[in-house]
Amino acid sequence: MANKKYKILIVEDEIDLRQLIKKKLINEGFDILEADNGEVGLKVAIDQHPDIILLDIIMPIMDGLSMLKELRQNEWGKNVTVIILSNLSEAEKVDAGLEKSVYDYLVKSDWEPDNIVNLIKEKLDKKKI
Amino acid sequence: MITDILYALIIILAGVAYLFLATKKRDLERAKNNLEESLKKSEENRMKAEAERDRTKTIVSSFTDGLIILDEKNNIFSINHEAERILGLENNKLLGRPFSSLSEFPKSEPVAFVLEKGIQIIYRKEVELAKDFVIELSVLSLGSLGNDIGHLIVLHDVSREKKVEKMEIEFVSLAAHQLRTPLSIIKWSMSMLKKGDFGKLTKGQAELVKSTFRNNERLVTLVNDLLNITRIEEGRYLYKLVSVDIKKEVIKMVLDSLEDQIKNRKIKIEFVAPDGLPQIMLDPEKIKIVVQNFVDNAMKYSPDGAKIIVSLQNDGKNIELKVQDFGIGIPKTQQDKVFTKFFRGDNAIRMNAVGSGLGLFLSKNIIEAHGGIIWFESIEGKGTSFYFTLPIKKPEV
Repeated sequence: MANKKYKILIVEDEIDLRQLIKKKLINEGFDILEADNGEVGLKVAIDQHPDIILLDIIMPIMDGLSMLKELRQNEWGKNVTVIILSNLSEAEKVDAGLEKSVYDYLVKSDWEPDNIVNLIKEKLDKKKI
Repeated sequence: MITDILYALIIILAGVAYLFLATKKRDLERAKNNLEESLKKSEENRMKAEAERDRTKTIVSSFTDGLIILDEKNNIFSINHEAERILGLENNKLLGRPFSSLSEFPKSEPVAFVLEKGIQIIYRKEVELAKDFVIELSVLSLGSLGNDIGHLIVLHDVSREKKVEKMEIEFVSLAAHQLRTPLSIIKWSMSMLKKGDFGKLTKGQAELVKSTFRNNERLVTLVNDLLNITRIEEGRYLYKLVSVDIKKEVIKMVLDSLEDQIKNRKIKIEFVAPDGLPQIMLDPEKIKIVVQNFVDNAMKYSPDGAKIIVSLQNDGKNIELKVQDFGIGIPKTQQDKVFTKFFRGDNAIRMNAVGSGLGLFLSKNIIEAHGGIIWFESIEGKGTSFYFTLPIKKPEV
Protein backbone atom coordinates (compact mmCIF):
# COMPACT_ATOMS: atom_id res chain seq x y z
CA MET A 1 0.00 0.00 0.00
CA ALA A 2 3.17 2.17 -0.32
CA ASN A 3 2.68 5.88 -0.90
CA LYS A 4 -0.87 6.08 -2.13
CA LYS A 5 -3.48 6.95 0.44
CA TYR A 6 -6.63 5.03 -0.18
CA LYS A 7 -10.01 6.76 0.04
CA ILE A 8 -12.81 5.12 1.97
CA LEU A 9 -16.39 6.41 1.79
CA ILE A 10 -18.50 5.72 4.89
CA VAL A 11 -22.26 5.89 4.27
CA GLU A 12 -23.90 5.50 7.67
CA ASP A 13 -26.59 7.51 9.45
CA GLU A 14 -25.67 6.56 13.06
CA ILE A 15 -23.22 9.29 14.08
CA ASP A 16 -21.61 7.28 16.88
CA LEU A 17 -20.89 4.36 14.62
CA ARG A 18 -19.60 6.54 11.83
CA GLN A 19 -17.24 8.40 14.17
CA LEU A 20 -15.83 5.14 15.54
CA ILE A 21 -15.06 3.52 12.22
CA LYS A 22 -13.78 6.82 10.86
CA LYS A 23 -11.30 7.13 13.74
CA LYS A 24 -10.17 3.57 13.25
CA LEU A 25 -9.62 3.99 9.54
CA ILE A 26 -7.79 7.32 9.97
CA ASN A 27 -5.49 5.62 12.50
CA GLU A 28 -4.79 3.01 9.87
CA GLY A 29 -3.79 5.65 7.35
CA PHE A 30 -6.84 5.93 5.16
CA ASP A 31 -8.49 9.08 3.85
CA ILE A 32 -12.12 9.30 4.82
CA LEU A 33 -15.24 10.56 3.03
CA GLU A 34 -18.55 10.59 4.86
CA ALA A 35 -22.27 10.62 4.10
CA ASP A 36 -25.25 10.15 6.37
CA ASN A 37 -27.75 8.94 3.77
CA GLY A 38 -27.82 7.21 0.41
CA GLU A 39 -28.52 10.30 -1.65
CA VAL A 40 -25.48 12.20 -0.37
CA GLY A 41 -23.49 8.97 -0.47
CA LEU A 42 -24.26 8.46 -4.16
CA LYS A 43 -23.24 12.01 -5.01
CA VAL A 44 -19.98 11.85 -3.06
CA ALA A 45 -19.15 8.46 -4.55
CA ILE A 46 -19.60 9.57 -8.11
CA ASP A 47 -17.79 12.88 -7.50
CA GLN A 48 -14.86 11.55 -5.53
CA HIS A 49 -14.38 7.94 -6.72
CA PRO A 50 -13.46 6.32 -3.39
CA ASP A 51 -11.56 3.05 -3.46
CA ILE A 52 -13.94 1.32 -1.08
CA ILE A 53 -17.49 2.13 0.05
CA LEU A 54 -18.75 1.05 3.46
CA LEU A 55 -22.52 1.09 3.11
CA ASP A 56 -25.28 0.91 5.73
CA ILE A 57 -28.73 -0.23 4.64
CA ILE A 58 -31.32 1.39 6.87
CA MET A 59 -30.93 5.14 6.30
CA PRO A 60 -33.33 8.06 5.80
CA ILE A 61 -33.98 9.75 2.44
CA MET A 62 -32.37 6.99 0.37
CA ASP A 63 -31.52 3.58 1.81
CA GLY A 64 -28.38 1.57 1.10
CA LEU A 65 -29.83 -0.90 -1.37
CA SER A 66 -31.39 1.85 -3.48
CA MET A 67 -28.10 3.70 -3.52
CA LEU A 68 -26.27 0.51 -4.51
CA LYS A 69 -28.68 -0.15 -7.36
CA GLU A 70 -28.14 3.31 -8.78
CA LEU A 71 -24.41 3.15 -8.17
CA ARG A 72 -24.12 -0.04 -10.21
CA GLN A 73 -25.72 1.66 -13.17
CA ASN A 74 -22.94 4.21 -13.23
CA GLU A 75 -19.95 3.58 -15.52
CA TRP A 76 -17.45 3.91 -12.68
CA GLY A 77 -19.81 2.74 -9.96
CA LYS A 78 -20.26 -0.61 -11.70
CA ASN A 79 -16.91 -1.82 -10.43
CA VAL A 80 -16.26 -0.10 -7.13
CA THR A 81 -15.83 -2.38 -4.12
CA VAL A 82 -18.77 -2.12 -1.75
CA ILE A 83 -18.88 -3.58 1.75
CA ILE A 84 -22.36 -3.52 3.25
CA LEU A 85 -22.35 -2.94 7.01
CA SER A 86 -25.80 -3.55 8.39
CA ASN A 87 -27.61 -4.85 11.42
CA LEU A 88 -30.14 -6.79 9.45
CA SER A 89 -29.39 -10.47 9.06
CA GLU A 90 -28.62 -11.39 5.51
CA ALA A 91 -31.84 -13.34 5.18
CA GLU A 92 -33.79 -10.13 5.56
CA LYS A 93 -32.22 -8.51 2.58
CA VAL A 94 -35.26 -7.48 0.67
CA ASP A 95 -33.96 -7.04 -2.80
CA ALA A 96 -33.27 -10.28 -4.58
CA GLY A 97 -32.08 -8.42 -7.63
CA LEU A 98 -28.64 -7.76 -6.19
CA GLU A 99 -26.32 -10.72 -6.45
CA LYS A 100 -23.84 -11.72 -3.78
CA SER A 101 -20.88 -11.19 -6.08
CA VAL A 102 -21.21 -7.43 -6.16
CA TYR A 103 -20.76 -6.79 -2.50
CA ASP A 104 -19.74 -8.23 0.85
CA TYR A 105 -22.28 -8.29 3.63
CA LEU A 106 -21.25 -7.82 7.25
CA VAL A 107 -23.52 -7.71 10.28
CA LYS A 108 -22.14 -4.86 12.39
CA SER A 109 -22.81 -6.50 15.73
CA ASP A 110 -20.87 -9.60 14.66
CA TRP A 111 -17.69 -7.80 13.57
CA GLU A 112 -15.09 -5.68 15.35
CA PRO A 113 -13.51 -2.65 13.65
CA ASP A 114 -10.15 -4.50 13.45
CA ASN A 115 -11.69 -7.27 11.36
CA ILE A 116 -13.37 -4.76 9.08
CA VAL A 117 -10.00 -3.07 8.54
CA ASN A 118 -8.45 -6.45 7.69
CA LEU A 119 -11.17 -7.12 5.16
CA ILE A 120 -10.65 -3.70 3.61
CA LYS A 121 -6.91 -4.33 3.32
CA GLU A 122 -7.59 -7.72 1.75
CA LYS A 123 -9.87 -6.19 -0.87
CA LEU A 124 -7.40 -3.44 -1.68
CA ASP A 125 -4.61 -5.98 -2.08
CA LYS A 126 -6.74 -8.01 -4.45
CA LYS A 127 -7.47 -4.98 -6.54
CA LYS A 128 -3.80 -4.23 -6.96
CA ILE A 129 -3.28 -7.53 -8.72
CA MET B 1 -127.01 -94.79 1.94
CA ILE B 2 -124.90 -93.27 -0.78
CA THR B 3 -126.53 -89.88 -0.32
CA ASP B 4 -125.60 -89.99 3.39
CA ILE B 5 -121.97 -90.54 2.50
CA LEU B 6 -122.12 -87.77 -0.09
CA TYR B 7 -123.64 -85.33 2.42
CA ALA B 8 -120.97 -86.24 4.91
CA LEU B 9 -118.26 -85.71 2.32
CA ILE B 10 -119.69 -82.34 1.31
CA ILE B 11 -119.84 -81.23 4.90
CA ILE B 12 -116.26 -82.36 5.49
CA LEU B 13 -115.04 -80.63 2.33
CA ALA B 14 -116.90 -77.46 3.27
CA GLY B 15 -115.28 -77.57 6.69
CA VAL B 16 -111.81 -77.99 5.23
CA ALA B 17 -112.44 -75.23 2.73
CA TYR B 18 -113.66 -72.97 5.51
CA LEU B 19 -110.57 -73.71 7.61
CA PHE B 20 -108.35 -73.19 4.59
CA LEU B 21 -109.91 -69.85 3.78
CA ALA B 22 -109.83 -68.75 7.40
CA THR B 23 -106.08 -69.45 7.57
CA LYS B 24 -105.50 -67.64 4.33
CA LYS B 25 -107.53 -64.69 5.54
CA ARG B 26 -105.44 -64.59 8.68
CA ASP B 27 -102.23 -64.72 6.64
CA LEU B 28 -103.45 -61.95 4.36
CA GLU B 29 -104.39 -59.83 7.31
CA ARG B 30 -101.00 -60.42 8.84
CA ALA B 31 -99.32 -59.55 5.53
CA LYS B 32 -101.45 -56.43 5.29
CA ASN B 33 -100.46 -55.39 8.79
CA ASN B 34 -96.81 -56.02 8.02
CA LEU B 35 -97.04 -53.95 4.87
CA GLU B 36 -98.73 -51.17 6.77
CA GLU B 37 -95.98 -51.34 9.38
CA SER B 38 -93.33 -51.28 6.66
CA LEU B 39 -94.96 -48.35 4.93
CA LYS B 40 -95.21 -46.49 8.22
CA LYS B 41 -91.53 -47.19 8.99
CA SER B 42 -90.55 -46.28 5.46
CA GLU B 43 -92.44 -43.04 5.79
CA GLU B 44 -90.72 -42.35 9.10
CA ASN B 45 -87.33 -43.10 7.62
CA ARG B 46 -88.03 -40.91 4.66
CA MET B 47 -88.95 -38.05 6.95
CA LYS B 48 -85.86 -38.68 9.06
CA ALA B 49 -83.69 -38.71 5.92
CA GLU B 50 -85.27 -35.52 4.67
CA ALA B 51 -84.73 -33.87 8.03
CA GLU B 52 -81.13 -35.13 7.93
CA ARG B 53 -80.67 -33.80 4.43
CA ASP B 54 -82.17 -30.44 5.35
CA ARG B 55 -79.90 -30.28 8.39
CA THR B 56 -76.84 -31.10 6.29
CA LYS B 57 -77.90 -28.65 3.62
CA THR B 58 -78.22 -25.88 6.20
CA ILE B 59 -74.85 -26.76 7.73
CA VAL B 60 -73.09 -26.93 4.35
CA SER B 61 -74.75 -23.79 3.08
CA SER B 62 -73.82 -21.67 6.08
CA PHE B 63 -70.46 -23.31 6.87
CA THR B 64 -67.65 -20.83 7.42
CA ASP B 65 -65.32 -22.65 5.03
CA GLY B 66 -66.02 -22.94 1.33
CA LEU B 67 -67.48 -26.36 0.51
CA ILE B 68 -67.93 -27.87 -2.91
CA ILE B 69 -69.50 -31.30 -3.12
CA LEU B 70 -68.76 -33.43 -6.17
CA ASP B 71 -70.76 -36.50 -7.08
CA GLU B 72 -69.19 -39.80 -8.10
CA LYS B 73 -68.75 -38.52 -11.68
CA ASN B 74 -66.92 -35.44 -10.31
CA ASN B 75 -69.73 -33.17 -11.37
CA ILE B 76 -70.61 -30.33 -9.07
CA PHE B 77 -73.40 -31.32 -6.72
CA SER B 78 -73.38 -28.21 -4.55
CA ILE B 79 -71.39 -25.06 -3.86
CA ASN B 80 -71.93 -23.14 -0.64
CA HIS B 81 -71.93 -19.37 -0.14
CA GLU B 82 -68.41 -19.18 1.22
CA ALA B 83 -67.03 -21.11 -1.75
CA GLU B 84 -68.80 -18.72 -4.07
CA ARG B 85 -67.26 -15.78 -2.25
CA ILE B 86 -63.77 -17.27 -2.24
CA LEU B 87 -63.79 -18.28 -5.88
CA GLY B 88 -65.62 -15.25 -7.20
CA LEU B 89 -68.48 -17.29 -8.60
CA GLU B 90 -71.41 -14.98 -9.17
CA ASN B 91 -74.74 -16.27 -10.41
CA ASN B 92 -73.05 -19.54 -10.97
CA LYS B 93 -74.87 -22.09 -13.01
CA LEU B 94 -72.37 -24.72 -12.20
CA LEU B 95 -74.58 -27.32 -10.61
CA GLY B 96 -74.40 -30.58 -12.50
CA ARG B 97 -71.43 -29.44 -14.58
CA PRO B 98 -67.98 -31.05 -14.37
CA PHE B 99 -65.47 -29.69 -11.87
CA SER B 100 -63.19 -28.48 -14.63
CA SER B 101 -65.71 -25.78 -15.57
CA LEU B 102 -64.44 -23.81 -12.56
CA SER B 103 -61.52 -22.69 -14.68
CA GLU B 104 -63.93 -20.50 -16.63
CA PHE B 105 -63.95 -18.16 -13.65
CA PRO B 106 -60.65 -16.22 -13.45
CA LYS B 107 -60.63 -16.02 -9.66
CA SER B 108 -60.86 -19.81 -9.33
CA GLU B 109 -58.08 -20.46 -11.77
CA PRO B 110 -55.43 -21.25 -9.12
CA VAL B 111 -57.64 -23.93 -7.57
CA ALA B 112 -58.66 -25.39 -10.92
CA PHE B 113 -54.97 -25.49 -11.78
CA VAL B 114 -54.07 -27.60 -8.76
CA LEU B 115 -56.71 -30.14 -9.70
CA GLU B 116 -56.47 -29.98 -13.48
CA LYS B 117 -54.86 -33.42 -13.66
CA GLY B 118 -57.80 -34.86 -11.82
CA ILE B 119 -59.43 -34.94 -8.42
CA GLN B 120 -56.99 -36.29 -5.84
CA ILE B 121 -57.00 -36.36 -2.06
CA ILE B 122 -55.27 -33.23 -0.76
CA TYR B 123 -54.67 -32.13 2.80
CA ARG B 124 -54.43 -28.39 3.50
CA LYS B 125 -52.44 -27.23 0.53
CA GLU B 126 -51.79 -23.49 0.50
CA VAL B 127 -53.02 -21.82 -2.66
CA GLU B 128 -52.57 -18.14 -3.35
CA LEU B 129 -55.62 -16.75 -5.11
CA ALA B 130 -54.50 -13.12 -5.14
CA LYS B 131 -52.18 -10.79 -3.27
CA ASP B 132 -52.81 -11.23 0.49
CA PHE B 133 -55.56 -13.75 -0.31
CA VAL B 134 -54.45 -17.25 0.59
CA ILE B 135 -56.54 -20.36 1.17
CA GLU B 136 -55.86 -23.88 2.39
CA LEU B 137 -57.28 -26.39 -0.08
CA SER B 138 -58.35 -29.86 1.01
CA VAL B 139 -60.03 -32.58 -1.02
CA LEU B 140 -61.68 -35.43 0.86
CA SER B 141 -63.31 -38.58 -0.37
CA LEU B 142 -66.95 -39.06 0.53
CA GLY B 143 -68.23 -42.56 1.19
CA SER B 144 -66.51 -45.44 2.91
CA LEU B 145 -63.95 -47.97 1.72
CA GLY B 146 -64.29 -48.61 -1.95
CA ASN B 147 -67.72 -47.07 -2.03
CA ASP B 148 -67.09 -43.88 -3.98
CA ILE B 149 -69.98 -41.47 -3.73
CA GLY B 150 -68.01 -38.34 -4.59
CA HIS B 151 -65.63 -35.82 -3.10
CA LEU B 152 -65.73 -32.85 -0.77
CA ILE B 153 -63.57 -29.84 -1.58
CA VAL B 154 -62.83 -27.56 1.37
CA LEU B 155 -61.56 -24.01 0.92
CA HIS B 156 -60.24 -22.52 4.18
CA ASP B 157 -59.37 -18.81 4.12
CA VAL B 158 -56.03 -18.21 5.91
CA SER B 159 -55.40 -14.71 4.61
CA ARG B 160 -55.55 -13.15 8.04
CA GLU B 161 -53.20 -15.69 9.60
CA LYS B 162 -50.72 -15.14 6.78
CA LYS B 163 -50.90 -11.40 7.26
CA VAL B 164 -50.28 -11.70 10.99
CA GLU B 165 -47.38 -14.06 10.30
CA LYS B 166 -45.88 -11.50 7.95
CA MET B 167 -46.27 -8.78 10.55
CA GLU B 168 -44.65 -10.93 13.22
CA ILE B 169 -41.66 -11.63 11.01
CA GLU B 170 -41.28 -7.97 10.18
CA PHE B 171 -41.52 -7.15 13.87
CA VAL B 172 -38.82 -9.63 14.82
CA SER B 173 -36.51 -8.29 12.10
CA LEU B 174 -37.17 -4.74 13.15
CA ALA B 175 -36.65 -5.57 16.83
CA ALA B 176 -33.40 -7.37 16.08
CA HIS B 177 -32.18 -4.44 14.04
CA GLN B 178 -33.12 -1.93 16.73
CA LEU B 179 -31.42 -3.98 19.42
CA ARG B 180 -28.29 -4.52 17.38
CA THR B 181 -27.73 -0.86 16.62
CA PRO B 182 -26.74 0.20 20.15
CA LEU B 183 -25.09 -3.17 20.76
CA SER B 184 -22.79 -2.70 17.79
CA ILE B 185 -21.89 0.80 18.92
CA ILE B 186 -20.91 -0.51 22.34
CA LYS B 187 -19.05 -3.42 20.76
CA TRP B 188 -17.01 -1.19 18.48
CA SER B 189 -16.31 1.33 21.26
CA MET B 190 -15.10 -1.34 23.68
CA SER B 191 -13.13 -3.09 20.95
CA MET B 192 -11.26 0.05 20.01
CA LEU B 193 -10.66 1.01 23.67
CA LYS B 194 -9.35 -2.47 24.37
CA LYS B 195 -6.96 -2.35 21.41
CA GLY B 196 -5.53 1.01 22.44
CA ASP B 197 -7.10 3.15 19.74
CA PHE B 198 -7.89 5.80 22.34
CA GLY B 199 -4.58 5.60 24.14
CA LYS B 200 -3.03 3.28 26.66
CA LEU B 201 -5.30 2.05 29.45
CA THR B 202 -4.40 1.37 33.04
CA LYS B 203 -4.67 -2.23 34.16
CA GLY B 204 -7.92 -1.48 35.94
CA GLN B 205 -9.37 0.32 32.95
CA ALA B 206 -8.36 -2.51 30.61
CA GLU B 207 -10.07 -5.08 32.84
CA LEU B 208 -13.24 -3.03 32.97
CA VAL B 209 -13.31 -2.57 29.23
CA LYS B 210 -12.74 -6.28 28.61
CA SER B 211 -15.54 -7.15 31.01
CA THR B 212 -17.92 -4.70 29.36
CA PHE B 213 -17.02 -6.08 25.95
CA ARG B 214 -17.60 -9.65 27.11
CA ASN B 215 -20.99 -8.90 28.57
CA ASN B 216 -22.04 -6.95 25.55
CA GLU B 217 -21.14 -10.03 23.51
CA ARG B 218 -23.62 -11.99 25.62
CA LEU B 219 -26.36 -9.63 24.52
CA VAL B 220 -25.28 -9.81 20.90
CA THR B 221 -25.35 -13.62 21.03
CA LEU B 222 -28.73 -13.60 22.73
CA VAL B 223 -30.26 -11.35 20.10
CA ASN B 224 -28.81 -13.53 17.33
CA ASP B 225 -30.07 -16.69 18.96
CA LEU B 226 -33.55 -15.29 19.56
CA LEU B 227 -33.77 -14.11 16.00
CA ASN B 228 -32.71 -17.51 14.71
CA ILE B 229 -35.03 -19.43 16.99
CA THR B 230 -37.99 -17.26 16.01
CA ARG B 231 -37.25 -17.89 12.39
CA ILE B 232 -37.02 -21.64 12.94
CA GLU B 233 -40.32 -21.70 14.77
CA GLU B 234 -42.00 -19.76 12.04
CA GLY B 235 -40.60 -22.10 9.43
CA ARG B 236 -38.76 -19.14 7.95
CA TYR B 237 -35.25 -20.33 8.74
CA LEU B 238 -33.93 -20.44 5.23
CA TYR B 239 -31.08 -22.67 4.23
CA LYS B 240 -28.89 -21.73 1.29
CA LEU B 241 -27.01 -24.82 0.26
CA VAL B 242 -23.74 -24.48 -1.56
CA SER B 243 -20.94 -26.89 -2.30
CA VAL B 244 -18.32 -26.25 0.35
CA ASP B 245 -14.89 -27.38 1.54
CA ILE B 246 -15.87 -27.84 5.16
CA LYS B 247 -12.27 -27.84 6.37
CA LYS B 248 -11.34 -24.46 4.94
CA GLU B 249 -14.59 -22.58 4.58
CA VAL B 250 -16.23 -23.61 7.83
CA ILE B 251 -13.98 -25.00 10.53
CA LYS B 252 -10.90 -23.00 9.86
CA MET B 253 -12.92 -19.80 9.67
CA VAL B 254 -14.57 -20.50 13.01
CA LEU B 255 -11.24 -21.26 14.66
CA ASP B 256 -9.78 -18.05 13.20
CA SER B 257 -12.62 -15.96 14.56
CA LEU B 258 -12.05 -17.42 18.03
CA GLU B 259 -8.30 -16.77 17.86
CA ASP B 260 -8.28 -13.99 20.44
CA GLN B 261 -10.17 -15.97 23.02
CA ILE B 262 -8.04 -19.05 22.41
CA LYS B 263 -4.85 -17.02 22.84
CA ASN B 264 -6.05 -15.25 25.97
CA ARG B 265 -7.01 -18.44 27.72
CA LYS B 266 -3.99 -20.34 26.39
CA ILE B 267 -6.23 -23.06 25.01
CA LYS B 268 -4.43 -25.63 22.81
CA ILE B 269 -6.54 -26.45 19.77
CA GLU B 270 -5.58 -29.64 17.93
CA PHE B 271 -7.22 -29.77 14.49
CA VAL B 272 -7.11 -33.20 12.84
CA ALA B 273 -8.51 -33.69 9.36
CA PRO B 274 -7.66 -36.11 6.57
CA ASP B 275 -6.64 -34.87 3.13
CA GLY B 276 -8.94 -35.11 0.17
CA LEU B 277 -12.21 -34.53 1.96
CA PRO B 278 -15.00 -34.22 -0.58
CA GLN B 279 -16.96 -31.03 -0.89
CA ILE B 280 -20.44 -31.23 0.57
CA MET B 281 -23.68 -29.36 0.11
CA LEU B 282 -24.41 -27.31 3.18
CA ASP B 283 -25.34 -23.83 4.35
CA PRO B 284 -21.97 -22.50 5.52
CA GLU B 285 -23.35 -19.69 7.70
CA LYS B 286 -25.55 -22.11 9.62
CA ILE B 287 -22.99 -24.89 9.98
CA LYS B 288 -20.50 -22.30 11.22
CA ILE B 289 -22.97 -21.54 13.99
CA VAL B 290 -22.91 -25.20 15.03
CA VAL B 291 -19.13 -25.52 14.95
CA GLN B 292 -18.75 -22.26 16.85
CA ASN B 293 -21.22 -23.55 19.38
CA PHE B 294 -19.32 -26.80 19.89
CA VAL B 295 -15.98 -25.05 20.32
CA ASP B 296 -17.47 -22.33 22.55
CA ASN B 297 -18.92 -24.96 24.85
CA ALA B 298 -15.67 -26.90 24.94
CA MET B 299 -13.84 -23.75 26.00
CA LYS B 300 -16.53 -22.72 28.46
CA TYR B 301 -16.36 -25.94 30.37
CA SER B 302 -12.59 -26.32 30.33
CA PRO B 303 -9.98 -24.63 32.53
CA ASP B 304 -7.36 -22.23 31.12
CA GLY B 305 -4.55 -23.93 29.26
CA ALA B 306 -6.68 -26.95 28.43
CA LYS B 307 -6.54 -28.97 25.23
CA ILE B 308 -9.41 -29.21 22.77
CA ILE B 309 -9.37 -31.65 19.86
CA VAL B 310 -11.33 -30.85 16.70
CA SER B 311 -11.39 -33.75 14.26
CA LEU B 312 -13.02 -34.51 10.92
CA GLN B 313 -13.67 -37.99 9.57
CA ASN B 314 -15.02 -39.34 6.32
CA ASP B 315 -16.70 -42.75 6.23
CA GLY B 316 -17.74 -42.49 2.62
CA LYS B 317 -21.36 -41.68 3.28
CA ASN B 318 -21.02 -38.98 5.90
CA ILE B 319 -18.52 -36.47 7.18
CA GLU B 320 -18.29 -36.52 10.95
CA LEU B 321 -17.05 -33.67 13.12
CA LYS B 322 -15.98 -34.25 16.70
CA VAL B 323 -15.08 -31.57 19.22
CA GLN B 324 -13.56 -33.07 22.34
CA ASP B 325 -12.70 -31.30 25.57
CA PHE B 326 -11.17 -32.58 28.79
CA GLY B 327 -13.09 -30.31 31.10
CA ILE B 328 -15.78 -30.70 33.67
CA GLY B 329 -18.25 -32.74 31.65
CA ILE B 330 -22.04 -32.71 31.86
CA PRO B 331 -23.71 -34.23 34.95
CA LYS B 332 -25.57 -37.41 34.10
CA THR B 333 -28.83 -36.08 35.53
CA GLN B 334 -28.79 -33.23 33.03
CA GLN B 335 -27.72 -35.10 29.92
CA ASP B 336 -31.20 -35.57 28.52
CA LYS B 337 -31.83 -31.83 28.57
CA VAL B 338 -28.74 -30.82 26.64
CA PHE B 339 -30.49 -30.02 23.38
CA THR B 340 -33.42 -28.19 24.92
CA LYS B 341 -33.89 -24.44 24.95
CA PHE B 342 -31.98 -22.48 27.56
CA PHE B 343 -29.99 -25.47 28.81
CA ARG B 344 -27.03 -24.51 30.98
CA GLY B 345 -24.97 -27.03 32.91
CA ASP B 346 -25.22 -26.43 36.64
CA ASN B 347 -21.58 -27.20 37.11
CA ALA B 348 -20.26 -24.57 34.69
CA ILE B 349 -16.96 -23.19 35.89
CA ARG B 350 -17.17 -19.91 34.20
CA MET B 351 -20.02 -17.97 35.70
CA ASN B 352 -19.35 -15.24 33.20
CA ALA B 353 -19.61 -17.62 30.30
CA VAL B 354 -20.92 -16.00 27.15
CA GLY B 355 -23.94 -17.89 25.95
CA SER B 356 -27.69 -17.84 25.91
CA GLY B 357 -28.42 -21.52 26.37
CA LEU B 358 -30.07 -21.57 22.96
CA GLY B 359 -26.98 -22.63 21.06
CA LEU B 360 -27.40 -26.40 21.18
CA PHE B 361 -31.13 -26.24 20.51
CA LEU B 362 -30.38 -24.20 17.41
CA SER B 363 -27.50 -26.49 16.45
CA LYS B 364 -29.70 -29.57 16.62
CA ASN B 365 -32.23 -27.92 14.34
CA ILE B 366 -29.57 -26.93 11.85
CA ILE B 367 -27.89 -30.35 11.67
CA GLU B 368 -31.16 -32.23 11.40
CA ALA B 369 -32.39 -29.89 8.69
CA HIS B 370 -29.26 -30.87 6.76
CA GLY B 371 -30.16 -34.54 7.15
CA GLY B 372 -27.42 -35.14 9.70
CA ILE B 373 -27.23 -36.44 13.24
CA ILE B 374 -26.02 -34.62 16.35
CA TRP B 375 -25.05 -36.23 19.66
CA PHE B 376 -22.57 -36.13 22.49
CA GLU B 377 -20.71 -38.25 25.03
CA SER B 378 -19.81 -36.92 28.41
CA ILE B 379 -18.38 -38.07 31.72
CA GLU B 380 -18.49 -35.67 34.63
CA GLY B 381 -14.98 -34.69 35.63
CA LYS B 382 -13.42 -36.25 32.52
CA GLY B 383 -14.72 -34.24 29.58
CA THR B 384 -17.21 -34.06 26.77
CA SER B 385 -17.27 -34.84 23.08
CA PHE B 386 -19.84 -33.32 20.76
CA TYR B 387 -20.42 -34.86 17.36
CA PHE B 388 -22.35 -34.17 14.20
CA THR B 389 -22.54 -35.90 10.85
CA LEU B 390 -23.47 -34.43 7.51
CA PRO B 391 -24.39 -36.63 4.57
CA ILE B 392 -22.08 -36.34 1.59
CA LYS B 393 -24.88 -36.61 -0.93
CA LYS B 394 -27.01 -33.55 -1.50
CA PRO B 395 -29.37 -33.45 1.49
CA GLU B 396 -33.09 -32.77 1.40
CA VAL B 397 -33.95 -29.61 3.28
